[in-house]
Amino acid sequence: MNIDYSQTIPNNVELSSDKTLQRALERWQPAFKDWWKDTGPLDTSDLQVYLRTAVNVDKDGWANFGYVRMPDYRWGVFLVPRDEARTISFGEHKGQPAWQEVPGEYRSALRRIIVTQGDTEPASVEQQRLLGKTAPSLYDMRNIFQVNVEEGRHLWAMVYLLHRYFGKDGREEAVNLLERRSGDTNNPRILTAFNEQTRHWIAFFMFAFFTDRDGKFQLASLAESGFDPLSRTCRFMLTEEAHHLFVGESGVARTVQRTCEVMAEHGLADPAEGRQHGVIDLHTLQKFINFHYSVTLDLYGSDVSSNAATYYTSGLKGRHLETRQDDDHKLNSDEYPVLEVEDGKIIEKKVPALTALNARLRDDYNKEIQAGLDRWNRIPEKFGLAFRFRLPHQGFHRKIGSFAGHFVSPDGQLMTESDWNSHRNEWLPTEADHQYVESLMGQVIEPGKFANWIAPPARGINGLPIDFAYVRFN
Amino acid sequence: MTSPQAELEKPDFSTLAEKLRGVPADSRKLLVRILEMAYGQNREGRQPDTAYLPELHESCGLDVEGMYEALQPLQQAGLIEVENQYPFEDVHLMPGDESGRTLLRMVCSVCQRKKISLRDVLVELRFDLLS
Repeated sequence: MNIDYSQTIPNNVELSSDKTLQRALERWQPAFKDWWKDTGPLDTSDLQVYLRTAVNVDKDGWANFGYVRMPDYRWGVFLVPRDEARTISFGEHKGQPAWQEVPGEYRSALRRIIVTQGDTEPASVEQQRLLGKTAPSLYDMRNIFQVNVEEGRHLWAMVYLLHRYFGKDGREEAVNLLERRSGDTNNPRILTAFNEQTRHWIAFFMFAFFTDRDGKFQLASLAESGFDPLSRTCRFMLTEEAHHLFVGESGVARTVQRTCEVMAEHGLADPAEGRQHGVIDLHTLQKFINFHYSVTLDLYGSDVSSNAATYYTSGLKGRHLETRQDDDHKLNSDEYPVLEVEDGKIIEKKVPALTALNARLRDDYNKEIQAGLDRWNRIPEKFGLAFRFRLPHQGFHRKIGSFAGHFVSPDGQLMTESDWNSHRNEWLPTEADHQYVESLMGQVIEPGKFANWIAPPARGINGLPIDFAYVRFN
Repeated sequence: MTSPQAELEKPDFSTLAEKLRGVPADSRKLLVRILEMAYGQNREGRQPDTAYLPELHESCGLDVEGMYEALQPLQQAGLIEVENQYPFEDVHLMPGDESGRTLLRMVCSVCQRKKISLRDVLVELRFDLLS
C-alpha cells in the first residue's frame, strides 16, 4: 500500500478520486503551512534535518531516512489497509461489520473524540517551539524535530477524517484546530496539560515519556473503534508515536546516567546534590516526575464517567488491547475497583466496569509507567546509589477525578491544604528549579558533542554514528 | 552475505524453523527487522551480526514496552542476546552459535537473490520457499 507522493498531499487513500475532498484539503494545506511557520520550531526553515518520512504503511517497512527542510516535509494522509472482514469487537454493536461511514446517531460524539485528539497534536508542537534553540546536541535537536513533524502529520490524520466524514462541521473544526493556541488565554487548546509551558528539555523528555504515552493509550483505544477509518488512522499513528516514547524514556535515562556519573566521580551520595557540578540532581528529577505524572493522569478524565461508558457501549472507543481481553466485551454486569475519598479516608470501591473505563485505561498506563521507572532505577543501582525514583500516589496533585479538591501526599496520605502546601516545594518543581534547569540549557551544535547535563546516547540514529551531522546549518 | 559456495551445501533449516515455531508471530516480525538491520545496507562500521535498539525503534514502530515484550521470546529461544547499556542495547544474533548465524545469513542471502520476502520465510514459516 504505497503512498502516492506525486500528489500535492501525499496519501494512500486515493484522494485524487474524490476531487471535492482533495480541493478542500488543498485549501486547508496553506493554512497548515502558515500555522507551522508561525508556531512550529523557531528559526528552522533553512535547516536540513535528517528525518524519517513514511513511504509505505505495509509490512515491508515504512520509514525512509534523509535530509529534509522541515517546511518541505511531506505531511500527508496515511491509513493502514482496510480489513474487509473487520467487525466491531465490543459494545452493543459487537459482531457487526465495522462502520465505513459515520453512523448518524454517533456523529456528534465521534466528532468530539476526533477534535479532542486532533487538538493535542498541534498543541505539543506549539509547546516545544523554542526548544531547538537549547538542544543539548544535534542528535537531540533532530529527535525533537522528528517528533514535531510527526505530531504535525497526526494533525493531518485527524483533519482528513473531519473533512472526509463530517462535512461543513468537520471543515470548520479543522480550521479551529489551527486557530487555538497552547497557553492562549482567549483561545487555548482543549486539554489543560497541553496549555502548560515546555520550558526546557527536562520538561520535554518528561512530556514525551508521560504525556505522549497517554497519547499512545488514547490512540490504542481509538484503534479499537467501530468507526473503521478512525481505527485505521490511529493504527498508523501508533507506529509513529512509538519513537516519541523512546525519545522521552532515553532522554530521561541519559540525564539520570550523567547525574550518576558525576555523583560517582565526586563521591556524592545525597540525591539533592549535583548542581554544583552542572547536572540535574536526582531529587529535582523526582519532582519533575511527580509533576508530569500527576498532570498526565488528569488527561484520563474522571475515574467514573458516563461518557466513557457511552463511548464504549456505542462502539466508538474500546479498551487498550480490547480484543485480547478475556470477557464478554460488553461489561454490563462487571465491576471494577476505583479509589475514592470517603469520610477522610482513601477507600477502594467497586463500581460498574462500564463507568470505570477511564480508570481502567489509566491503570493500564500506570503499569507501563512503573516499568519505565524500574528501568530508570537500574541506573543509580548500577552506580551503587541507594536512591530510587518512585511514582507518587494516584491522588497526588490531581485536578480532575475523585481526588480533585483533596490534598494527598506522594505516599498517599490525606492532608490538610495548609500541610500539603507547606511541603509543595519538596514535591513539585519550584520556579527556582525551573530556572536552574533553564540555566543549563545552551544549544550544542558541534557534531558528536553533548551538553554537560546529559550523557551521549550509546547508539546513533538509523545505525549512523553519534557524531553524524543530524542537522545541517546552511 | 553468505557465499554461493555455502548454499551448495544444502543447509538444514529444520532446527531454525523449529525454534521459530515456538516464538509468537510479533517476535518473528521483529526478528525480520533485526536481520534487515544487521545484514542489510549501511553495514560499514557496524558490529557484525548485530542490530541496535534505537534503529529498531524508529523502523518498526514498537515502543519501549512493546520492544522488550517482543524481544523476550527471541531471547528465550536462543535466537538473540540483548547486551550493552540501557536504553541503547545491542541485539546480537545467535551469540556463540556460529553455525546458527551462518544459517540466518544464508536465509537473508537466498531471500535477496531469489527476491523472496524474508517475512514470508521467517514469519509465515515458509522455509520451503528457500529450496
